[in-house]
Amino acid sequence: MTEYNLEDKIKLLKQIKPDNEWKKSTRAFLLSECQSADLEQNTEQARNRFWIPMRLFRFRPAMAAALVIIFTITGCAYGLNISKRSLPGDMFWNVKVSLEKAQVTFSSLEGKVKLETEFAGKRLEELKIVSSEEKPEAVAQAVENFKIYINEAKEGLENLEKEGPGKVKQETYAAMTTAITTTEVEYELWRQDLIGEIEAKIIETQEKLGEIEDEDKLEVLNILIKEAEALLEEGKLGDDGKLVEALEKILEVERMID
Amino acid sequence: MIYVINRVEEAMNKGEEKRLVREVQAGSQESFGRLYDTYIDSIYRFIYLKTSSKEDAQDLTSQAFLRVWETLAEFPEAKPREKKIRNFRAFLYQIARNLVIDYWRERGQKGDVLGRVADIAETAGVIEDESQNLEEKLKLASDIAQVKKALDKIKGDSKDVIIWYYLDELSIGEIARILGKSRGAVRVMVHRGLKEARKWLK
Repeated sequence: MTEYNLEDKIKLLKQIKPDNEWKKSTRAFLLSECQSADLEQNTEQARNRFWIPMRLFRFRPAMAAALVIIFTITGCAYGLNISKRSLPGDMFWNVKVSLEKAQVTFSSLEGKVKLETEFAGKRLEELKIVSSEEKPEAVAQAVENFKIYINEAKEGLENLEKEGPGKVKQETYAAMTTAITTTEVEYELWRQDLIGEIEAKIIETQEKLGEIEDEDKLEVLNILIKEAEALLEEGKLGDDGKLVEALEKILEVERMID
Repeated sequence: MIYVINRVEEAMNKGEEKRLVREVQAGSQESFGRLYDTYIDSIYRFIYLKTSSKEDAQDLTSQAFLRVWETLAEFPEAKPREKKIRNFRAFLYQIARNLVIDYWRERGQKGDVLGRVADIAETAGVIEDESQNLEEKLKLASDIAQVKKALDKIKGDSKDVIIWYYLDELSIGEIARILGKSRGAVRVMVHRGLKEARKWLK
C-alpha cells in the first residue's frame, strides 16, 4: 500500500461525525450552562487587575497604528529608538515598518522612490542578521517586506520616467536606478549565500545520519532531508518562500539529530 | 511567496481565534458558541475513535466543552503572564485527551479499546452523509470500520498522533505541545503510527 493510499484510507475516518440533533441540543445545553455560571464577579476582578495588559503591546495592527500616531505626534524619541533597532520577529519591528510606511505616504513621488529603496536596503541588512541567527519566520517576514519595497521603488521609478523629462534631474534618476540595482544585486548575493548554507547543512546532516541507531528516527530524518532538498531545488528556481521553507526544514533535522 | 501568504492567513485565523477566546474569558456566550461550532465535529470524532462508543463519545464531548467554559471563566483570576492559552486548539485537545484517559482508567483498561470493536452497523450510525444510498453508506461504513480496527491496534500515543495529524490536521508543533514532547519525537511517532497502521491494513 502506498503512502498516499494509506493516508486516503485514514482520512475516510473524517466521515465520522456527531449526530446533528445531538449537536444542536448540546450547544443549547452548554450555552444555558454558561448563562448560569457566575461570571460577573470574574469579569469585575479581571477589570480591576488588568492595568496595563502586556498583551496589548504585542503587535496587533490597531495597536501598531496607534503607536505610529503617538510617536509621530509626540516625536517620542524613546519609542523611535527602540523600534529602529528592532529586527523582524521583535515586538516593535512592525511598528518600525508602520512608521516607514507613514514616511513614504507623506513623500513626493521622487521621495517615495528614495525612501523605498532605502528601506529595502534596511530590510536586507536585517535579513542578513536574522538568517545568520537561523530564524526562518523572521527571514520570511523580512523577505516579504523587502520585495514589497523594492517592487514599489521600481514602479515609482517607472512612473517618474512616464511623467517625462524635466520632472526629475537626469543625475538623480540615474542615481536612483543605480541604488535600486545595487540593492537587488546585494539581495541576490544574500540569496546565493543562503542557498549555499542550506546545501552545506544538508550535507552535514546526511553525514551525521550514520550515528543514528533508531531506525524509525532515521527514516523520518531521511524523509525530511529529501523534502528539504526538493524545497531547495524549487527555491533555486526563484521561489524564495520555498528557500525559507527549506531552511526551516533542515534546521528541524539538525535539532532532531542533536 | 505562497509560504508567507499561508503563514499570514494562518496568523489571521489564529488571531481571530485568540479574539474569540478573550471574549469567552470576558463572558461571551456567542463567542463560546462559535468555538463550539468550529471544533465540535473534530473533538467528537477524536473521542469516538478512542472509545468506540457513540453514547460515551457524546457524553465526554459535552464534558470537554463544559470544562473549556469553566476553565476559561477561571482565567481572569490568573495574574498576567500566568496561565495564558497560547494555542486554544491544543488546549482543547488536551482536555479531550485527559477525559478519555480518565474514562479508561475508571474502566480499568489501558485505552486500547480491547474487546470493543465497532461493527459495521454501529459505524454506519456515526456517518453523517445523507447524500448516499444505503448500499453506498454500508460500503463506506465497512471501509471505515476496517480502518478504525487498524487504528485501534496502534499502541499508545501514536494513535492519538495519527488522528490529530491526518484527520484533524494539527501541526507537529501543536501535537508536541499537547503531549509535552519535542517536535522531532512527534515526527517519529507519526512515522511509527503509520507503519503500524499499514501493517494492519494490508
